[in-house]
Amino acid sequence: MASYNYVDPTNSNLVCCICRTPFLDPVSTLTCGHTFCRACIVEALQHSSQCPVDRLPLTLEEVVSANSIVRSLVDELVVECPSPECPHTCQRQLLAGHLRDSCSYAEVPCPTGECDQLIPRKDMESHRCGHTLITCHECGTQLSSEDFKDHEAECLPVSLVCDFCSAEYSRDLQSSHAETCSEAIISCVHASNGCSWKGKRRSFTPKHIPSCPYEAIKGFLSLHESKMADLREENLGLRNKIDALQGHLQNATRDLHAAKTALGPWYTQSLAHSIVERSPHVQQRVTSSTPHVTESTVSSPAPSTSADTPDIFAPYFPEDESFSAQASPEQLSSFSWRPLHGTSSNISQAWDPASLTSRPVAQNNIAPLDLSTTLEGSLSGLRQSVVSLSASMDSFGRRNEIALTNEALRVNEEIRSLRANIHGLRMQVHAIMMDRNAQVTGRMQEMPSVDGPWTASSRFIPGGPPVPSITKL
Amino acid sequence: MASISARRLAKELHEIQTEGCPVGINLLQADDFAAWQFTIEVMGESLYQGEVFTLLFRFDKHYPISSPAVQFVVTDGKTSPVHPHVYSNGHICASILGNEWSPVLSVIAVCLTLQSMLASCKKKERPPDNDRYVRHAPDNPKKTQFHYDGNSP
Repeated sequence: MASYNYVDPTNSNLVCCICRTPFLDPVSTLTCGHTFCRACIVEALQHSSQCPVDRLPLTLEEVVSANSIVRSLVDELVVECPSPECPHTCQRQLLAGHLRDSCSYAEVPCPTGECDQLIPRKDMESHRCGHTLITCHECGTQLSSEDFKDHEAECLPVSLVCDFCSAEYSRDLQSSHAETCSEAIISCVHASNGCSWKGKRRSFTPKHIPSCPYEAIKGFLSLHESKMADLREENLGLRNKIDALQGHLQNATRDLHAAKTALGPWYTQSLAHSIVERSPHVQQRVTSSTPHVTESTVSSPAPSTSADTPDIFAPYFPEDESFSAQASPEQLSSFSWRPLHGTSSNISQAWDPASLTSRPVAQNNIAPLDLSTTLEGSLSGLRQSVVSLSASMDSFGRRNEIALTNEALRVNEEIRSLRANIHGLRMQVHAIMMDRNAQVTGRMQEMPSVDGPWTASSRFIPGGPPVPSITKL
Repeated sequence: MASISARRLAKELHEIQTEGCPVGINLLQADDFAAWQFTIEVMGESLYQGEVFTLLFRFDKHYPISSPAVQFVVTDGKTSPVHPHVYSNGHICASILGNEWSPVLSVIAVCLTLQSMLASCKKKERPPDNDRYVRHAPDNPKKTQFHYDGNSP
């Protein structure tokens, strides 16, 4: 904003002494408190570094924005709109907004945004420049007036001439004329059925229709047509049904597969084999194995317990793939686990951890489950075997405890007898030492002062008083 | 920025025309914003009683930031006052026209200063180096680097 036209004469205190107009962006000096327009004092300081009023040294750093009261006073001065025609007056601070938004004489850029013309706002509606959009009366497209001249040439002629009958008609009648022109070349209505006639429209009805072979069987053709349509529709319906059924089938297959995976090895064999009651075998086996364990524990406590204990678990951890699938000896005659018990080498081999972990797990080989029974039967059998296992574990633990107690009693007795023996020995030694001591002290009384390298030791005379003198052994 | 000097001068001219000049000073000619002329005479008791001089102000586009070029007119039969700070070619040795110029000063302020300078003169004489200076003096007194001695006003 280069300059304002102030409506009223301004108070001289609000006038910059450099430009002699009311302050614009007023600033004050920190040193002497004089106020100037910012632009004025900046320029004056470039010329001479002193305050223009009192010539005191002054730099740009000592110039700060003036008091807000001063700013408000000059911002509220009433000014005229700079547009000569505009009668608007307002506060100085509002003038920019007036020019930007509301002054009808302010020049604004062309509303299309493509031309660099500035036009008064009040003329904006009536403004026509090269970029204003104009609607073509012929075709209805919107074009800028620059392009409109070219478009008018393309759009013309407004009326067209028919190629066949050389009649003139307006553009919007073009399609309707083509349907009615009697000179136009058309093909027979039965062209879809195979009639190859082509000719002018006016000769179609009187000349061709009577001679057209398809016209004669028109009834049949239409009947045929409708039947075909029915069949097509039915076909479509059937195809949809097939699609739906295929979808169902796929779902069913997926479900079946999922069920198969869930069932695992039980899937095929449970169908192939009849239901076999399994739980009695388990019971039988456990009861038969229990005495064996007890016997071995009692008879040879120390070495064989560790080797024999795993026996009852042996069926649960099959030694070899050939019989791992079947753990119950009663069911398959070819397999027997009982002979393994006697030989410890077999057992240790069976309990080799490497052979356990490295053995490939086949899907069908889940020992000791019997796949020939139903899933439920196997589960109940397993549950019962776990119960009996825990019972046998319990009894084994108790027996073991009893054996330990017996053994401890015996050892205690032995220790006691040993202690008695030791005591006897000690007494004997003591008596011997007493004897000897008596001899030594008797000798010492004979030679009371003997100096020598030997040192006294009372270690060998327990219970006796330490001998201060030298003992010669 | 040339418009700043024009607006400032327009303002000053408007004030002169509405409020009038101080006593003894009259606007002779101010057709544009490049050069103005004033007549100046010393009122009351002084060595220059009855003499009327003509002052020429020349403004550049940096006025009022830079000082105007001020001198007495010595053509067309007009003369410069005989004064220790005024050369015979009309150039004036005054600090406020040189390094002591301030943008807050105005044309009228310069006139008044010069008026008082004349009024306070004790002895009518030319500056001691008048002849040497006049021989080499430039046309524009602003191009002279005056050495301001202590007794200048």
